[in-house]
Amino acid sequence: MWHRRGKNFLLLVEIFFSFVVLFAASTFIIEGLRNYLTPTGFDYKDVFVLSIETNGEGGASIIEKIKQIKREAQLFPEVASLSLSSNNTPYSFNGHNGTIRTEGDEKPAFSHYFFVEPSYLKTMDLELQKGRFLKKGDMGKVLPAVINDKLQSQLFPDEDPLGKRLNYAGQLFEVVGVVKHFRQAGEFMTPVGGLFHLADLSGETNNIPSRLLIKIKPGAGMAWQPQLMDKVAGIAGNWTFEINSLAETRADRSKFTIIPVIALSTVCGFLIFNVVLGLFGVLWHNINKRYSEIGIRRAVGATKGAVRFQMVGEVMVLATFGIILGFLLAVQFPILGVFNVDGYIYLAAMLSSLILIYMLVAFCAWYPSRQASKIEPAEALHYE
Amino acid sequence: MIKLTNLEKVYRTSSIQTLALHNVNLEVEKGEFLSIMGPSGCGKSTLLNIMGLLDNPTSGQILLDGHAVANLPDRELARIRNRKLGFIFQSYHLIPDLNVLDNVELPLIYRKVSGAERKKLALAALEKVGLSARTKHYPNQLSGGQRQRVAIARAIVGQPEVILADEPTGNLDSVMGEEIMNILLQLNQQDGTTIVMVTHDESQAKKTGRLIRFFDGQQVNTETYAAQLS
Repeated sequence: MWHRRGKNFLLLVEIFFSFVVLFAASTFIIEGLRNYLTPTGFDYKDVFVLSIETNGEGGASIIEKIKQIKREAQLFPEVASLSLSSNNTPYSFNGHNGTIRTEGDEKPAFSHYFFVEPSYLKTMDLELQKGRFLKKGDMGKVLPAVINDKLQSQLFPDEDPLGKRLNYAGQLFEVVGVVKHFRQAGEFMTPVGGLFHLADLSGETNNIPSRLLIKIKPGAGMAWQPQLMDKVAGIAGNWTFEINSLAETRADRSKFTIIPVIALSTVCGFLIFNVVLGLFGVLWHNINKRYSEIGIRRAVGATKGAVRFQMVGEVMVLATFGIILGFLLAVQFPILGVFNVDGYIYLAAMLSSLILIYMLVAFCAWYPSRQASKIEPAEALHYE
Repeated sequence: MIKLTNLEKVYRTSSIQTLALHNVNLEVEKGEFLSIMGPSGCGKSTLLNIMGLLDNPTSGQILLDGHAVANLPDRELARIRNRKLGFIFQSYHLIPDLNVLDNVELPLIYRKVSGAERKKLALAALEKVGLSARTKHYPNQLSGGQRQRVAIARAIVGQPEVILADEPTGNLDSVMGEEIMNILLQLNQQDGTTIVMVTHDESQAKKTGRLIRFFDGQQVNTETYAAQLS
């Protein structure tokens, strides 16, 4: 093999690039699958979002109107629970995020922020892991806050987060509880930090909620929706209201995520197909050029199986070298921590790419080797 | 040693049928040096390939040491080629990517001989053909005569009972041809190796014990001589 290194170099490069392409695709797919299989931390079923746009109206009067809207909604017998919220409701494309730091050692982490009411816990069916959720009166200079377990693992991996203080752009928070999993964008979102604090219904800050999350009782029907819209229009006629179910928003968000995934998977599929065609072509050509050698080996005692083993074995050794080069490149990703993907995802992607490459290479080498081994030795010896 | 009975070989394509061998009956005795002569395309090489189990006859029987080999499985045919037969070809058929030593060791690899033992046997075979100083050279660094010596060393490294040589001196000048012929005669006379050689060279053929002439796929004449070293 060493003496054919010039001829084998092209094949080695092709295997290396195939590994890299497969590694990239595998990372993307495995991460997507991991995200999809991880709980979102909330239940979207039977939850509706009433969007409230004040159309430029400001001041303390809007707080009163928002409270009145909530009271009116609460009167519907179909409603099981409701909570005012910031506009980054589940599956919405709105976002409030930035880097939060621990007080003292200033350890940073990226996080989303949500200002909600205590009833958010019940409305969205969050799972409390530790401490308590927000309660009425959780205001003050240091805001009580509930974080998700991802933020906890980033900021307090080995200690109890309860009572710890966090700083975001000068605002101090004190952790009072931890919820499990919560990912606002849903199934396809990579787990990131999340922090909940109480919505301000005093009008003293800008944290005025503009969404009302309404959980209805199972089988409640839709009749309440037009009635509610009439009521809220009566409270604030110049405002704009829109009501959507989280199930619909989820479907829209899924389309937004799935379509690029399908497009990328198609591109990756074509790439892999091209790699297979290329490998097959190169191996077919290389093996065909060795018919004379195959004839010699058969003449001196090689069985058909030994010839196949020799041809496939050589390609597998080459594949190993290509994979080692690919590994050297791939391992830089978890080491350097690029793209914010967990190390074990990269490792799983490397392993699956390795298995796939060996399978592809074995398949591409096996058929031409089989064809070559079937030729009568006398015929193979005539090839020069 | 080798007995061919009513051997026929027909090459068929979709439009043409060529009779390469017709009704060949031939017996090669153990320790014999037999040469086969005839014009190009008369079936000499086909006959040698069939004797060497490199090709199948269309009909007829091949007995090797009294055993029919026609329908043996691939594994068994490979074993016989490896242990009982050695091949020498006109165009040497060395593997260009392997050096001299590795080329000579090749039959022993398929006999699962250990690396050290392979090397010892290959060096001994190369010593026999006078090429022990060129073990690390590659075929393209050798002359035609040296390449053929490597091919002979490869053929004898496993000490086969029969050597089948297809125009072994065909690509060599007369001096080199003589040298190769002498090596073959020595193998036959000193080691008792049975040799079947296809040749176009009448003078070399007459140095072997028996000469069979072929024409249009059939034996037409047999002559016997006293085998002699030049």
